[in-house]
Amino acid sequence: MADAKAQAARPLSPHLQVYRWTWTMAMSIFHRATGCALYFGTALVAIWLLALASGPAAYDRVSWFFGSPIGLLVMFGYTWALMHHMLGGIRHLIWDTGRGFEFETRMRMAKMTLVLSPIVTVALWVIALVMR
Amino acid sequence: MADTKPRSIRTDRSRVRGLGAAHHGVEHWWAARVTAIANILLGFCFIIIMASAAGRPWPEAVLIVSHPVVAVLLALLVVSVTYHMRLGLQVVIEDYVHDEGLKLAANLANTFFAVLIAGICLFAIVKVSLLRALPL
Repeated sequence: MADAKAQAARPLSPHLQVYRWTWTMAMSIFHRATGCALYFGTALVAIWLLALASGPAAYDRVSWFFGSPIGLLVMFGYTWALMHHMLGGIRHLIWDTGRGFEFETRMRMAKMTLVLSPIVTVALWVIALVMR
Repeated sequence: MADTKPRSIRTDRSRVRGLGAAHHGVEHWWAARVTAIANILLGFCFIIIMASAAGRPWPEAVLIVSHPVVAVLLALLVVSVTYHMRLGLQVVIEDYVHDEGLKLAANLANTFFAVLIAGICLFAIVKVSLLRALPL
């Protein structure tokens, strides 16, 4: 118990709020946040697949939800989170090769992640809707 | 003259195995990368499949998802994604949950959720595939 108290009294290292925001820091947080959102979002994919497997009645109910304004908004947001997490992941894969750590490069890559993710998302939706 | 070379109590065997203090080596890190690359490739297949199947009448959606190529791609995606997301959330848990009991519970819940999603999706893909044999 004495140990636990001594530990709690020790000063903690400063956390997020004391740092000046940078592009790389923001995109690191975005990467983690989109990853967590996608984690729980997989439940939506499971629900759709399960409804499809269950039969026309269940499938029509789920299709109604995904086709509603809220459903479409959720799917659009899901696409953006997926694209943002993918682009952020590609950034990490580039870093894994030992490249892209220069100040200019890492700032440019971080900005590109945020700029490209909505562009790719909108492009995918336009292509998908035009092809239908 | 005393031997001044840096000494370590680490054994040669431990050095060769390269598994480090956590006994896992780079397994977690490496698996996250392998599944990440698989997710990029399979993810675009997923988007194409969902964009063509979602919103279609039930018989048409069943015909798309039950196509052998589509069903296999979806099943592979489910395995790769659920593995990747379990690894990712484990890192988040280890960063923010410091109480040992809570951390154990959170990691268990993480594994159970990932396996539950994988189980439901794989069951559904198999069942939809079998519907292809029936007149719709």
